[in-house]
Amino acid sequence: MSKLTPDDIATGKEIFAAQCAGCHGFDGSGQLGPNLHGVEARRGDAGIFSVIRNGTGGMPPVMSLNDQRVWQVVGFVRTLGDTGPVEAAKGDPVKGKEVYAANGCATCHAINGEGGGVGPQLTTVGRSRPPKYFYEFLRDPGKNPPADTSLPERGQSAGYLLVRVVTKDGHEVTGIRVNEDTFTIVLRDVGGHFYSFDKSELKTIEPQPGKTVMPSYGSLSATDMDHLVAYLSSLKGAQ
Amino acid sequence: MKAAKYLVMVMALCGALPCFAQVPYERLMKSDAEPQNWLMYGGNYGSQRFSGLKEMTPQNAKDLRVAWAYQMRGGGVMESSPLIVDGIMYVTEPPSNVTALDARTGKPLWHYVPQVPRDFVPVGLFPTNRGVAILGDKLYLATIDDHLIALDAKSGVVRWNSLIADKADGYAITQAPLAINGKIVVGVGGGEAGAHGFLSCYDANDGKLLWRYYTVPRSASDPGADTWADGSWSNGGGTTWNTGSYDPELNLVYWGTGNPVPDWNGEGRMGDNLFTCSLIALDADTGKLKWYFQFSPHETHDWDSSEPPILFNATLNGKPRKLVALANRNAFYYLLDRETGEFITGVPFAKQTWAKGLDAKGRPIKMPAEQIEPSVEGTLVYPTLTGAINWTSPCYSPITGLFYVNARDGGAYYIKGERKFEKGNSNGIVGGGGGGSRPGPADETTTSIRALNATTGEKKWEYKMVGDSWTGTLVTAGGLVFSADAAGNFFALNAETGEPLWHLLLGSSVRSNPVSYSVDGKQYVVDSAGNALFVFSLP
Repeated sequence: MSKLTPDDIATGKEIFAAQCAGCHGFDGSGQLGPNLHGVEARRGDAGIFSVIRNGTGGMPPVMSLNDQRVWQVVGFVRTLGDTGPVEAAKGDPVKGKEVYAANGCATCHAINGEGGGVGPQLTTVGRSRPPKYFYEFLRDPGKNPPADTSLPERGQSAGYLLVRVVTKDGHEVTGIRVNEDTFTIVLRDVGGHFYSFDKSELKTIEPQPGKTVMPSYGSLSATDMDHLVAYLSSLKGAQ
Repeated sequence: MKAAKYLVMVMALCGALPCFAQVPYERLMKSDAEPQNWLMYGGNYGSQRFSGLKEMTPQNAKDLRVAWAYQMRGGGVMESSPLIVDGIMYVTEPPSNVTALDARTGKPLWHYVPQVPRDFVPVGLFPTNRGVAILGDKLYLATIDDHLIALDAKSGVVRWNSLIADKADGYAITQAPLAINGKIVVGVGGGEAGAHGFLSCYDANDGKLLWRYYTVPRSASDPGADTWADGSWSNGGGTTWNTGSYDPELNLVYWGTGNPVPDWNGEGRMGDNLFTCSLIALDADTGKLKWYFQFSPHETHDWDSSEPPILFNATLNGKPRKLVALANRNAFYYLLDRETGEFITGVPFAKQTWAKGLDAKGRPIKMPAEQIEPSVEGTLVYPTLTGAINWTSPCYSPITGLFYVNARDGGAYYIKGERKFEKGNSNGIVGGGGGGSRPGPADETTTSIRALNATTGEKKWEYKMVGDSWTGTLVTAGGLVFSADAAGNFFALNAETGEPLWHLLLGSSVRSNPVSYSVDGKQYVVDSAGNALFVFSLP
């Protein structure tokens, strides 16, 4: 990377706010896209440059910036790791792992290949979520559900949306929306079973924003909550 | 047996000529008389995208099925609107390739790949191509790196190659050119890069530049310069990136213009910023401005006015009128007199929160600036940055008198960045133009096919889809409207009522305009999804 001046970093910040913050959050702590704090350690400067230029996973290539501008964004992203607003988790991750096991989280979530598949995988969730997110989410999981990034083309669809449908012959199914278009909808129940419907067969399609199959863990003790959050924050996958 | 019949038919049509039918200007002028062909981007000079074919009807649409498919050779987003001329289909593939196909079977006949520099990254647009034009024995292709190339329609051999603009100045082209009497009219894209918009006209025979009209002043004495504070016209903008229309009788070319520069921060370019976000009518022989109508003065949301202008005639208040209609990215439907540019009516056709309405002359009455102007933290305004409609085409049926548009309802948080601006320097740009946007609430943006009374803009029916569709519309004399939803369900609706009649999931989003043609008396409808072109027919 060519040497960047403070002006370059400021320009990178401006570009980031306009073109990147929509998914990564204005502070880079993650929203629809991953938390970028410490991304330099994981990918290196050239790796970040490559992701911006070529895209990866659900992120499209950024066509509207020349190389110099991309480097300015890389320069700004590097600063996120140094001064970002992520507070250190207060609890003990080892004890948090016990809280995780005792509360049956693995029924729905997988970590390093172990656990269920109904909820999002958590193997690297500590990269993409700051502790404050875990506290808020564990207390009220329906309020701000994560995007489901398993099908990037769904774009702006709300992730893990609970939908209740009733068929014209009276059968009722409530499940997480896996896919929906103008003519069909596919739901998945907590047991992982898929239900595929032609909308013409349904008399009711009722999205239930704010509801979720994930229970609230607001009743955990403050100490257990700290430990659980510390454990989740420690999940960063292979470094 | 079928193939032998086809060859005999083509030879019979050609008579003593080499086995290829010429497409003189007279055929283009009377394109409605040969509904078996699709001779130009918009279907006819009025860009109506109306097919006169009647084999497919609301009664038999349920029997539609795939006749053949063509898999694109490379990657990228396929947005091409093919031409079909006497049994041969000409389709373009990203970034600027042309393929000729047997329109009956989908078998390739020839393929042309221009030399596009690999390191060229256009600013603010996908490197794709939306189609070619035909005149005489030549096809006309505008390339992503700003060349206008004439190809022998029989073979794909290059007849001439003219450089339209320098890509280092931010110019890039994705549109289909427009062929008129001995001339090829073509615009340019690149508004986010600060390209200085213009429309050019070339001699169809040799590629010589005949005229060029700049849409934004280039000196303080140019018309409209007083609508740009502090000489900010020098920023550029007002590009002409989507194909326009033509009235042979009035000899006027109609073309929409894009955003001023920088997009989302207008502080340094106070004033109306003529002739951005306007419809311009130019004399086709001289390129002189006959009239203009500015839809969005001092635009700050990237709502280009590059949507296809649709020309039609109708009787208003007992008087026959020559009209032009445009469904604008800013969410208003406009009807103008195409001889004079006089505003007749304008109403919203999709959700919008930026204007209280239009005044008697069609100028928007904007909401207070703090509610609509981009801000550092983001201001939620409707429609989205991509607009209530973008480059895809609406259509108009002279039978129903309805204007069919795929309308987007949704909002975005508009963000103002610093008013830095950097011109050209080979794809150099700051932040896309002084800001940008981030999406509005998840699941909120939807698209609907809306049928509007073309003379009033009043909605007759709508067909709601799930998701954010990027497909144009086609209407046929048989009484069908074709389009697709965001998931790639290609469908047929009853043109009178909007009733859904048939659909088929193509497995990827449909980012192009459907067209219709016939070979051997059999009607086909074609559109692309993902990397493939799909052609439909009745059994």
